[in-house]
Amino acid sequence: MRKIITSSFMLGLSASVFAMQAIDDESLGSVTGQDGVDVKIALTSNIENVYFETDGNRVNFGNIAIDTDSRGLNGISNQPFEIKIDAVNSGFRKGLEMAISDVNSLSATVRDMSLSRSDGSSSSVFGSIGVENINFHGGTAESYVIGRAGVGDQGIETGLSLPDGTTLDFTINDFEYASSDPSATRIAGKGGEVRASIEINDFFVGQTIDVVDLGNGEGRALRMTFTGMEGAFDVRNFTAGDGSTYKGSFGRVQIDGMQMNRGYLIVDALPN
Amino acid sequence: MKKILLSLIISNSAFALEPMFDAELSRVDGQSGITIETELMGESTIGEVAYTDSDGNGASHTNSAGIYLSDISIGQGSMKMEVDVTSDGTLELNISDIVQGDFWIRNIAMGDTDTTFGAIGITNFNYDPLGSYNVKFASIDPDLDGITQAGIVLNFNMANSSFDFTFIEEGEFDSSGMAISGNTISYTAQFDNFIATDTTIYADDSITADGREWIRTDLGSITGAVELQNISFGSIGAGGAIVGAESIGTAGFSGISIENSSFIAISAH
Repeated sequence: MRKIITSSFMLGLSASVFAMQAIDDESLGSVTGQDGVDVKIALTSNIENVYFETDGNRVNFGNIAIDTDSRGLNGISNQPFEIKIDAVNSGFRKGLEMAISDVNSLSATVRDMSLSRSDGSSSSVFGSIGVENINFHGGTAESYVIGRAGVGDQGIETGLSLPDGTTLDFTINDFEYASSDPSATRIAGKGGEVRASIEINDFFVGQTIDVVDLGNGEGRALRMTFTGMEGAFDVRNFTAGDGSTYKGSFGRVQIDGMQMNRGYLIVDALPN
Repeated sequence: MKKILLSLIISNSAFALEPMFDAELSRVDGQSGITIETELMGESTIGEVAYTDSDGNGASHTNSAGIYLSDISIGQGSMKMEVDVTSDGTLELNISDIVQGDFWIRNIAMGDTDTTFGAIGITNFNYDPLGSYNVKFASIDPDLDGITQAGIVLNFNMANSSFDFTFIEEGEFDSSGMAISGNTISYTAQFDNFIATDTTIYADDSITADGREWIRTDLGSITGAVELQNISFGSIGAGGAIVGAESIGTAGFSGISIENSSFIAISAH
């Protein structure tokens, strides 16, 4: 089985020109060297199919719905979330830092996960997975992309921390629909759903990403080394039902003080 | 529709001018635009494109920093551009017949100029003749309040174009710009009737309550599909070729629909 790879993007952006006014000493004392650009994103979209294919066989992620603010009627309240981007050079840390805020009800669902041939035939559908109503409750997530200090261009370091009190709803279901059309109605009585509400605290994940020589003539591969992962998770309203009626709550699961130290993942091509 | 044809050959732009006779001049009437054919005869290079914070130049450790793209080259290419001003005052550019040479950024650095993240190249660009780039500089009314402002409207049709993308980590290049070492991630991007329409860019001071200006891009609509074929890991061998590449597979997406309220906005902070 071959595995999938993700790619990343960079933005090069320019600053605006403003009319300048004198800054008094008191005001100057609050200037902390921050500078850069703000990006606001409001997106409501549907992607019919994202797939990964090897030897004519595909894993499909169909009908991916992304809504950066799903609070409003029919999910179109359209308040953007914000990313503040700063280039940093502290002598040891050189790269980009990003602060993500105003996340109020960000949702992403994959309605039709399936396996098929490349032409769509022989499809077997697993069901749906969704992460909905992600809410930072006024907090700020921080992320960075940093060149690995002292070792030249030996890959990058990335990290992500979430604000304490981040909440989200997680769902998995195997509902069936009349067709693969995004607007197709669900077939009544077919399938069920498991859902839970999750609160996240003290969450951080860091990793290094590098293209490495595996040695012994095994070629190159993408190596992702997790330098650390920690967090506390409070899983509530853990319940199951048919989409309209749920059978009460299974209870509550709390995971405190989770710490994972160094692990790695290698993405490599299987020999033909 | 008549058009005046101009041929521009960059780096060889001398023309001989001859007078027009009255009989010929009388046939010139109501021209509705011009067509410009341009050809870049050789490779163009750019030493560095840099964005730095306004609080420094990236040379010291005082939180001054930037993004640095250096050793850039743009290969030989050509295109045809129709320029027209329509009755509503819109300046419209239609770009077609694009032949694009290889494009390389051989050093991408963030923080300071020494912290390199690798190199990227877009090569073997195969532009579908059915494709086109349409750019309009127009008066728009994004709020539909009767007050117009300047904006740029983009309509890109990639049709069935394709190009090869290569990322080189730990890359070294010789004086001619050819890669001589490094590890690679590469794939071929294949478009399938990929069309982005009504992408509109304009200034907007209503996004935040402080009244500052944002460069706002309304996303319009996107149709078609893109496939990243033969995603491979390899290394640079003799002659700059990628060797030892083994494909881990192909990825793609299709059928994007975007609500017309979707946008991305950028401002300085």
